[in-house]
Amino acid sequence: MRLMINGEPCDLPVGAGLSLQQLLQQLGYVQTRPEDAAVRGNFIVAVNQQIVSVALYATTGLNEDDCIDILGAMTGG
Amino acid sequence: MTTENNVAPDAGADVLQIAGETISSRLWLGSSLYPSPQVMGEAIAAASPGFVTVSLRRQSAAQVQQQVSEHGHWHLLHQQLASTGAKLLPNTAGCHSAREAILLAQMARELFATDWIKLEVIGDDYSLQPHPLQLVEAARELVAQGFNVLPYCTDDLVLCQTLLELGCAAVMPWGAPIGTGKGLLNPYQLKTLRARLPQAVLVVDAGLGKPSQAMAALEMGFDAVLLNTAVARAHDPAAMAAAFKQAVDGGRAAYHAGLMCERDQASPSTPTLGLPFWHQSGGTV
Repeated sequence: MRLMINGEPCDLPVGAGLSLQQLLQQLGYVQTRPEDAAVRGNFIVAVNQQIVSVALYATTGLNEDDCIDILGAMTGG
Repeated sequence: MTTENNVAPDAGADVLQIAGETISSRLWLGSSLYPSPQVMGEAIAAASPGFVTVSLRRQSAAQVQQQVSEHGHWHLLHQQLASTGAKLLPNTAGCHSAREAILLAQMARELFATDWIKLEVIGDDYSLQPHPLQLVEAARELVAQGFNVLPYCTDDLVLCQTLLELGCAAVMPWGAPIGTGKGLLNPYQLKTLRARLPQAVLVVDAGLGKPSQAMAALEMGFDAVLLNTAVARAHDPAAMAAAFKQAVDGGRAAYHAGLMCERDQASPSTPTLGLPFWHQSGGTV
């Protein structure tokens, strides 16, 4: 499956049906419980510029050419 | 009128309130550009700011973990927020359209769990001048979505009026372009904003390089200042943060006290009545 992850094309050796939670686990953002990370305010995810809440990670299916943005807290002025 | 400001605010009740919330300080500080997270934490502790600005960016899993690690910016920032009472103020820095800024503000609200947003929409990459039209469009939508919108804007009176009429909780005109340290480049216009928008919360955002410039903004009647580079790039950021804090407090106190009106004509401060030897014929003095 081909995805755009944080603006970079990414070919994953998986077929259709990959969930957002599985993707975040593969990429190392979460271990087994996504709420452990996200509830602490570590990052926020948008799929095709739509914010996905933590509760929907597991049920959000990804499709070919989806754009995934994963944003974390940064310093700012 | 004997003073520049013809109001005599009650200094005893000098509490900054925005959108119904009490802001603990009139010095607001950015969290960027410090030599280390530790130094950032020391500067925030010294400034005891009302707001600390933050942002959000695309990050790898490793970067996310670094931010929240024991020595990361995010971890230390949370410690300082807890001890100083400062509020988080996420920004939309880097956005060039209303659409981008709205989405980033929405993501910031989810990530930082706050309705406060420093709305920034850049219209010119060279000067980092805000885009007035995109700013208004984004402000209108974010106010409708329940954000407490604090727009970074130019010092244009009509733009500021429009943003306030849309429901922005305050307006934050620039003193000078971001990161220049040039101070209050157009004091005439800033004074005009204060005079024409007497009920509005006005914050000078960007361009301040010296504590004296922050003090001048507060003396002018601005309600707060927001700065980053002048503190973060100092040899001793914590000491500079403390200097800005004193300047802001001094400027506000001076505003309350009532600055004298500037005059073109000299006027002796020592009484002349009773002066001996003056104008006596044959005198040697």
